[in-house]
Amino acid sequence: MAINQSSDHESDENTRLYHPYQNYQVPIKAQYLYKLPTSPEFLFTEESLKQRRSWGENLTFYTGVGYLGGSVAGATAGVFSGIRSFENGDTTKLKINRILNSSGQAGRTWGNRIGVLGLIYAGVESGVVAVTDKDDVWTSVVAGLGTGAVYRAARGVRSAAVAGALGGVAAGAVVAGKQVFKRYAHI
Amino acid sequence: MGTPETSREPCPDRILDDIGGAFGMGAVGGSAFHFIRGSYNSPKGSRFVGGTQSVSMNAPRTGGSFAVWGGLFSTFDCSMVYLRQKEDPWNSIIAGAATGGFLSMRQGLGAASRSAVFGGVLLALIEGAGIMLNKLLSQPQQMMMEEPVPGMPGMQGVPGMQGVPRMQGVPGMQMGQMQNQAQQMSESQNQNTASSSSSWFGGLFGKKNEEVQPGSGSKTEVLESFDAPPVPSFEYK
Repeated sequence: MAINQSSDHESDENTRLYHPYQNYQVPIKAQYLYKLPTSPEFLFTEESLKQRRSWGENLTFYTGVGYLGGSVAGATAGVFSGIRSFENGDTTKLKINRILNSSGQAGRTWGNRIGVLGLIYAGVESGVVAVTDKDDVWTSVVAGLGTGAVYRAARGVRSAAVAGALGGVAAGAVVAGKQVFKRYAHI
Repeated sequence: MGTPETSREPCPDRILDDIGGAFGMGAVGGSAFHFIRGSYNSPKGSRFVGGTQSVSMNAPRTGGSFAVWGGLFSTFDCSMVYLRQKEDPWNSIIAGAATGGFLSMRQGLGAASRSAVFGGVLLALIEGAGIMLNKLLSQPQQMMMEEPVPGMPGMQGVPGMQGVPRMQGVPGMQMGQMQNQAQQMSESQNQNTASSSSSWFGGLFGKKNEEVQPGSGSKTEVLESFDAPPVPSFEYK
């Protein structure tokens, strides 16, 4: 029934062990553990190739992660720069005010920048997937290229080209790095 | 009801989605708005450049303020859901008030409370509009199910989705019985929808509304057993 028949060791990395009574508080000991795949299970392979995040989900996810990550990183950096800007005769109220001001400013700026990058990246990636109907490393690389180019488009063609190249390399590095990390992180 | 794919994410991931969605809305809407304003305010030869410059200066800021509002609202909403252990419009209203107050906290208590009232009223309007829209949208489906019943002069369009499953639970009803019962059905449905639409008030205000329910309960109880035949008595006649 639910027992995974494949026995090659590569599938062991993609499976999780499942005990049918794991969510219930019944005094039944685990006699059999089943190996279930970690990716979503589909009945037909054609559907599994087609089903992925919708463009709206992609958009909100990348933008949200970008904005949140950027603002948290900027706020932490701002706290340190606020602490560094303390002067000798500062009262506590003044110190708190400095920290709030600088962390708020840096957090807002960096959050906005990374959020815009996330927005553009999600839009371009959804567009590439919709046009080419594939989703692999090259999709991410092309999306990175497009993101860099659009982000620096206002500064001229050469700046846009440089930024696009940087973005493509960065996106490719992130995707490849994630795969390498997954393979070797268990060691 | 929405299918699991179309309904919202469970609560912690909902915050991320809301931040992203709000930032996207603010950035795209802000881009359009600032582009039009920038190109309007620039000299004739460089309208496009002026528009794009205005966009690159102002659109991230608009997106950022939308994102902050959306993220805080979603965080407070999820906290209310966790505290009250239920999902209803009151969570959104209180979260809106809290967001408005939190964002103006540095301006002092008076400004914060005014912003809180403003945020709460805004969210109440939005939630009220959503509820009314849901009621309106579910009316035509109710009308369609009542078409096959012949000779029903007094049947009005009854709001609420409770009518549809109840209609489907009538497998072997006689037509004559239907004529009598349908009239009762519409009345009890009205009361049921009234009670369900006021139940989210009841959720916050406690037991006060429950005293109103038992008065109308008897009519509903009669109806609940219309698909089972009456229990036969075993008297020897």
